[in-house]
Amino acid sequence: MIEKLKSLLQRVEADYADIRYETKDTGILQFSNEELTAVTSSRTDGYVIRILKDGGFAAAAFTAWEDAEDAINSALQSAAVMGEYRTSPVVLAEAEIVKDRYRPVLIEDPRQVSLEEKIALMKKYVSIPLQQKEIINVDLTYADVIRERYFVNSEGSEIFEELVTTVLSGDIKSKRGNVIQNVRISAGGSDGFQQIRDQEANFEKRTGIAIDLLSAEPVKGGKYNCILNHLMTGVFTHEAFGHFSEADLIESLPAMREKMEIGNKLGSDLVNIIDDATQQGLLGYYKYDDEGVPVRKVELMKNGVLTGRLHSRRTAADFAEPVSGHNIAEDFRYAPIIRMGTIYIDKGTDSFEVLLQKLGNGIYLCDPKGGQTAGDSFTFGAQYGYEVKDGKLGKMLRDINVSGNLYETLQNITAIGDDLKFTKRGGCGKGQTNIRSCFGGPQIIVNNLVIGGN
Amino acid sequence: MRNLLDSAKDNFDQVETYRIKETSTQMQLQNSALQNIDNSIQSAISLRVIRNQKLGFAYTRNLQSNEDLIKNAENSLLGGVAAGYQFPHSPLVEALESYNPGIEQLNAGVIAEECQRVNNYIKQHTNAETEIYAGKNISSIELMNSHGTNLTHINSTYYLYFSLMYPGSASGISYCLMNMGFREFDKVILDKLIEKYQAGRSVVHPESGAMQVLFTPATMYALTWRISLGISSRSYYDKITPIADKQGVRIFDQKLNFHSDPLDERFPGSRPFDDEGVVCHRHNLIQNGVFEKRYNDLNYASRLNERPTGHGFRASMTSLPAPALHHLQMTPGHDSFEDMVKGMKRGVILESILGAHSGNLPNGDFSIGVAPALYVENGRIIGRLKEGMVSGNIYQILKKVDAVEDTLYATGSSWLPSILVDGVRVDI
Repeated sequence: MIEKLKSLLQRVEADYADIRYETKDTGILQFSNEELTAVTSSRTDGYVIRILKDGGFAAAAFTAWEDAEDAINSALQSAAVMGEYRTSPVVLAEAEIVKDRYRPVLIEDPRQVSLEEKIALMKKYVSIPLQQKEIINVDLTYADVIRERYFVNSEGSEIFEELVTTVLSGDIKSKRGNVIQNVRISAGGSDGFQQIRDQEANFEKRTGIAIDLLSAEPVKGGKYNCILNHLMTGVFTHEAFGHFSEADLIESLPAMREKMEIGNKLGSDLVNIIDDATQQGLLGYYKYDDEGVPVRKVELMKNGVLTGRLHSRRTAADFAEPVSGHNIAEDFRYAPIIRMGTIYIDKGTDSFEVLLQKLGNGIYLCDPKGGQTAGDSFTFGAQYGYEVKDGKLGKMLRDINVSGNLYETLQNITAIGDDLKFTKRGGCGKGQTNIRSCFGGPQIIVNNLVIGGN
Repeated sequence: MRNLLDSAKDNFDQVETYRIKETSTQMQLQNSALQNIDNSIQSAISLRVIRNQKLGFAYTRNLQSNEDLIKNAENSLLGGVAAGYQFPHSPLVEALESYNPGIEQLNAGVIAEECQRVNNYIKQHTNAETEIYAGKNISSIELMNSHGTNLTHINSTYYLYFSLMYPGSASGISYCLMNMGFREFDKVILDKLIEKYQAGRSVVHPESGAMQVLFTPATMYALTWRISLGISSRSYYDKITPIADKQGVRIFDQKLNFHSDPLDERFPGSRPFDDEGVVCHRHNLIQNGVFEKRYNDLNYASRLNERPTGHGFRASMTSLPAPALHHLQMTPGHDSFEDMVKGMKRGVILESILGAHSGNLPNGDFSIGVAPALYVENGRIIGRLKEGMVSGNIYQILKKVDAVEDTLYATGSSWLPSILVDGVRVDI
């Protein structure tokens, strides 16, 4: 395949070109309660070519080899248009020339697990919540996604990398009278099917939460000091700060760019933020991004001061900063865009008990329910929470959504817990879906968060 | 397609083939700089088979061999997914005017020029930072099944979405133009948006509380998402809708009328048949606030012993059809946007929102961040809320709606007006 791609690139007259070919094998099982509602197992494939010519840079994706000529022409024409309309030509930062073939170490290869065994395991999991009479519905999806990426560029890089992702995601709904509540459940990772096994305790715990939510009080809207549990810290870091550290979101916005200048003090002294997709065993792990750049650990914030940024080769040149290997595509249908790998606030020194004491009165927010950002504003939901009074956990709360401003919130982090946890399932939807987007962190205290009830 | 269908027929009780071809060009212009241009030429084929009332499914991007695709579908039968329905025998349907041939000649240069024109006009009149997405999409569908259905359809869409962002906030006033072919952006609309932008330049910090909220078309999805869930046959079958027993009952203010009409050729994306080959028609969902009819696909129609309503659509080629609303529309009301604002005593205009996907969707609860909202007192916009949360439950707040706008706007595959609702909680 590498030779085939090289032969195509040789037909392109440009300042730079690269091409990526991918196969994507997807196996999906879907359950609605104990009924299996979908089984699919399919292979798809396609190409993405990118061309830099005369200061314009454009891409074309295509699925049939016979469309290659049309795709090259589209990309060339679009590059010419871009060259004409840009005031400054696109330049790509220097990147290492890499020749490598890489397959990750899998503890248990999902391809070696039979369909029957996967179905039996999912059935067992679904049956756990359904034993409770107040559980009215369980939706559960299992997927394994195997991407084999071949990348060639006109500078001489030739890379093959395999990415294996397993995903278990579900929703458990409870009902009492007219009140319906739901909690999410997830598992998975980038190192094999074993991440999907032994989830019985997880299902029992989530079932208990779904039932407890029926008795929980809706939170009253207002401003609160809060403890964010590990995954809430993660979604805050991802949504509020992380997207801002993606250079493509701010590159042409002068006011944002000024605020996010390296060296600016944005957070409290306690805050250290890192993106490190080189950590094997975590969901976000990969070796090369989708423009052939090795990913590296990036220290984004140190003691509240902005110290780094996530880049593509294009934005790295524009910002005159080093490449980081964060230009990622969902699959062969897309040109890459800048994405976080594994982002987290580094751990501090406080145990949970100390955090409760430091909080005194407020809310303990648990487990994210989606999030979104627009510039320095963010919103994310919590699946449940607890009132905290005099440093002690109180009654359960539900219907919690949090809103805030990035800069104020980073300054309002007043304590950081002493352990780290990471997500097992991705799904960031910045233009494309990144199923390996990983985030996490310690538990933290944030003061003055705006909480909307229902 | 015909070969594939014929090859598969002997192996199964029922067979359906579905092919989609799409070509697209999209570009992004951020604050006068053309950031990227992406082109795409994609195709995909899927095969759905039924044997002994069990479903098999497979898809591919490149059909190298009929046998491999049939074998994949055969293998997936092992899962034992129930399929108690028949693929429909649908007659040849009349073609809709959903395709503008002129779009084939629309090149990236013309689109870029229009983006630049709109951008320059905004820049001449405001200090806004701008974000523009524009492009074209042509998609053709071919659907055949073993009951003789043989349908084709082609759609074209040109779109230009732009946002006038308040500097430093990356949020602001936005608008989306959608058409079947290229159309220059109307200066009158641009002027109105610029006026709105200017009115919201000052950040204000009013008191929290219950107040009037004007949901603009771009933010209506926070409500229609929950309504769609509530009136879906799937939610009814799964017993997760709080309005399961409310069919024929008034659940919303009588000013609210929702229907889906995929045949409506006024708007791009019209469809004569759904992704299962069921012929589409106008389908009343909420009439004068009364919950009229659920919507379904073949699967849930069969499970609930209902007539198929033609709402089986695929979220992507990798997924099976599922009940989904296409061309969701509201009946326009009688008030202009300006009159609605003039009628507000104290409240906010939601221009853009965050987090509509979180919250307890089946229950109808929402709790959304503003990004931003314009603040109105005594009929006048006096500034904007940069942050804040608007929360409530659709089954409570939509019982009394103050006004429905007299114009529909494109929002994804829906065509909606603004609505004004009183007594909604806003936390600032």
